[in-house]
Amino acid sequence: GCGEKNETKENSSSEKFTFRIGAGHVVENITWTTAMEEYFVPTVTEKAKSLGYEIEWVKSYGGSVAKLGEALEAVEGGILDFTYVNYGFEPSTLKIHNIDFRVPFTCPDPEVVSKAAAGLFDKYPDEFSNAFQKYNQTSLGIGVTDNYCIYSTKPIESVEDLKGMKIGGGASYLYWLENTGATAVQSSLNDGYTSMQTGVYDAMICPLGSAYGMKLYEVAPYVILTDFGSKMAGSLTVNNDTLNGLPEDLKDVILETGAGYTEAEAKLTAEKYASDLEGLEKAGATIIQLSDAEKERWVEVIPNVVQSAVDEFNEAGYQTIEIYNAYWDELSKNGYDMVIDWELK
Amino acid sequence: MKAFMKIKTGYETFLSYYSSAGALLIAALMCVITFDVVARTFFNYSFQGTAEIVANSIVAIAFMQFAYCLAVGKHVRTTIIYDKANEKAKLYLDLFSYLIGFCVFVILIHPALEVFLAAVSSGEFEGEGALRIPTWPTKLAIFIGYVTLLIEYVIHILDTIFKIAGKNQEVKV
Amino acid sequence: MSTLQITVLSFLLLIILVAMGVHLGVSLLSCSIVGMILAVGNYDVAVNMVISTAYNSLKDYIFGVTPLFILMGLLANLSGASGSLYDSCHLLFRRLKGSLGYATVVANAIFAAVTGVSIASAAVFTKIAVPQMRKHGYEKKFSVGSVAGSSILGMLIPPSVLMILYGTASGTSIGHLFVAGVIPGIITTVVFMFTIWLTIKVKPDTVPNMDEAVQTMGRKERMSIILKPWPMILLILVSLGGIWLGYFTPTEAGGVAAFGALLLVIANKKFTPKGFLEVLRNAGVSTGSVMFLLITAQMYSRALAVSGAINLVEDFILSLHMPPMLVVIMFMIIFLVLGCVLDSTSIVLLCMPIMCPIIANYGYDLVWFGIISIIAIQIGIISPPFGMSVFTVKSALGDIGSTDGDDISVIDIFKGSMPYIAGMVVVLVICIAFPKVVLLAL
Ligand code: NA
Ligand code: NA
Repeated sequence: GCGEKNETKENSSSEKFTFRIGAGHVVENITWTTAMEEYFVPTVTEKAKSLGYEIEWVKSYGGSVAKLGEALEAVEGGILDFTYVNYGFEPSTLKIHNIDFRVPFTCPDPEVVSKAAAGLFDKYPDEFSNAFQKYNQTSLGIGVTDNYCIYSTKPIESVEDLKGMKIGGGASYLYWLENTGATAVQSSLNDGYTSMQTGVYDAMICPLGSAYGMKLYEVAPYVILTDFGSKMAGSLTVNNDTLNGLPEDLKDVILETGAGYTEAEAKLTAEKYASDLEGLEKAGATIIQLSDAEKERWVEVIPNVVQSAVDEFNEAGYQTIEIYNAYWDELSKNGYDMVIDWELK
Repeated sequence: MKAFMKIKTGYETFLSYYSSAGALLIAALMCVITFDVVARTFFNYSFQGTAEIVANSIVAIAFMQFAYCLAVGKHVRTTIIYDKANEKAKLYLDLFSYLIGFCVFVILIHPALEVFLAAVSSGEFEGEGALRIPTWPTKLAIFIGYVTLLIEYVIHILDTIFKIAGKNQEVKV
Repeated sequence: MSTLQITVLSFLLLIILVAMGVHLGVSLLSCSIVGMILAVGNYDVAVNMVISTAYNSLKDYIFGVTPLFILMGLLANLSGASGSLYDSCHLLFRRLKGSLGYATVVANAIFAAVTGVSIASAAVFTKIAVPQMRKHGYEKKFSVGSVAGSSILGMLIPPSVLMILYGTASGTSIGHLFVAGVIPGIITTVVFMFTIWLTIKVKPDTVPNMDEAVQTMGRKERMSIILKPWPMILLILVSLGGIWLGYFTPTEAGGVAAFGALLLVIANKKFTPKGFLEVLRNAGVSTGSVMFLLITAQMYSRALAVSGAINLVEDFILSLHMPPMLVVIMFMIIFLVLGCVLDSTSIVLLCMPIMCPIIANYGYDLVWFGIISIIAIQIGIISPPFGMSVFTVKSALGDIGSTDGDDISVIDIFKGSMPYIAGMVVVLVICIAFPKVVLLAL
């Protein structure tokens, strides 16, 4: 069974546990999973060892057990003990967790966003942390994306340039294109390369680093630094039966290491962003920085997309404005002030 | 026995229509995709949702074929032992194969129904905005796929049992 | 239960079920349910995982490729293009002794570019090529052997159901596999032509002397027959070229190519609503049997991953400290042995979930591994005692009746196919030794 305790040989002193860990993403190039492999797994193993436990990991990344939209369900049932749940793939089960994706032009710094997200989880435990309990799991730590930008097949200097373009991206942030005259095409990063190569769309909204890993610049050599922001994107979760079946000291190790995941993942993401930006320049991509004035013009063109999110989440029973303001306060506390005043009501 | 054959023929005729309906969806996909490519190439126009339509209907198309594939013997099986067996042993091997299939789909049928009902009652969807697609139609197609398969297995099992009984009688006479 | 026990138990169960003739998909399904229950220790969870896999495993744009390319192949055949293709190739090789043999290989290679399954090639060319060769006095083993042998090209040259299955099982891009299959496919075609040349050199009386009727044909008439299949060639160039140039996704290429083949049917005045519906229904049934395998294979590979079996086998093979290339060669030998008793689809579905992670771990390219595996596995369709293509040729012969009364046995077909096995081994060695051959086009 999950997190099962293996009967150990009499002469062996260490107690042995087997954990199944997996995710829809591969480990390479995706910081959420990289942090699981490079931080969470070795740290838990190490700390457990010092307490006299031996941990064996059965690993299944890249969707070999659960695809991107199946992570929550896989841990709920106990097929996996640990996974990374992307909020974007759970629009009907983890609704409010997607609030950050609905706002363009937020904080570009993953480490700040990560701290603010953790603060938000602390302040609104019922809405955020406890929402996972309904699915028989516990959110241990939070993962963030790096700064969203646009990879494009042609230069984009102003919001007018978007007119007539077909632009791909995840459903939860295609709202940012409303009224710009661009056609939104729902798509995932996995399809980005071929879709832009074949002309299914001309540009794609995506996190700079993940897209760099998939060599999107080969087909879309213009990288527009729009500073849509780094987003709180998902949780590292553990199955509750697994967690509660562990000896107290080992359970503490899991909780403690899981909480540390938030910081470790953000640090990794920030480092990767810097090196990927350098890599892009070396690869000969044309990098275009969108000016603050142009960002404000963009906001004037699109409808109040955050207000529409507020209305939608209110209808689902959340105190949405309060939560948004609390999140932005958290960002501010950690050193980032929102550039755009969304005037929510 | 006659009544059974009538039911068998009737049901398999129904399956052939049901699978043909799925096959027509393939032609529809062909048209949608060609239309999309032509519009994109010559009119610089892009449809939203072609990929979603294809992805979701593929599952439905597949599940609409399974029972008919079984009826006409198109599911892949290895015949290495089967080919060496005599007529009677062949019937027993068939019976064994059908019983395994029956057991598997008996197990799956109830959870598949629950998953479908849950999708209906919670109004579950995928994607957002204009491309919000409800999940229940695909889940219904899957459930029907299991039900039709299960019934066809029952028919195959009875059919094989009748054949075995008939063979035994022949021997006695 | 330990991982090892679960693995051994569910694998044994799988082998028993498959051998007893339980449908391959049902066997995979049963073993994934049993394996999941043993690994997770909870019946409901295991069954729900299987249910979820059924919903999620096919729900991807790329799987549109399967029914569309199947439909394209059936429509191309309905249009009569395969017959005119064969006549065209016959005339192209008219100056060579054994021209109908070369024509069989080359027409098969071109037809392979519109069909995704080898048994389709075998069935179609048994009906077109065998009667012609028998009429002109080609030896019977040579005639049926060339059809069965060159039907291998059906799944080696894209589109290929085997590549779709491999892509799914290994998580490799189906588009990349399609592109990578072209050059090895062409090499195989050339090697097969050389095989025929060598056969005729060694035993000159297997084929008659050159065909008089063809030699005396007028130039104008000849050109019109040679050029007749041009629309089909165009269709192939557009669809495969489109994928290669990145203008189409494989699914789009399938849709456009199927539509083009439909136009071809209409242009050749072969369109009837009844005939079209029949083709659609055949496409539906073929799609159904492939998709059933795609779904159940993913369940099986998930069960393997959940139970930890994949890690277990991987650790074991790594612990042997063999040179990676030796492991690759060992896998190829496993394919050849399995090919004697199992069909190609089963081999891909049973082996890839275990082998691919190991190969990836060594740092090999999974597209390359996929192509060399398909070459090795495809040898199985003509190797005795169980050879899918050989049986197909035999049953298609029954449909047309023997031309001159002598009965062609399964043994004859196996014997006639032997030279092509040798040819395939040569191609396999080339592709293993020079991975560039496979990866050049990417
Ligand atoms: Na092919
Ligand atoms: Na064989």
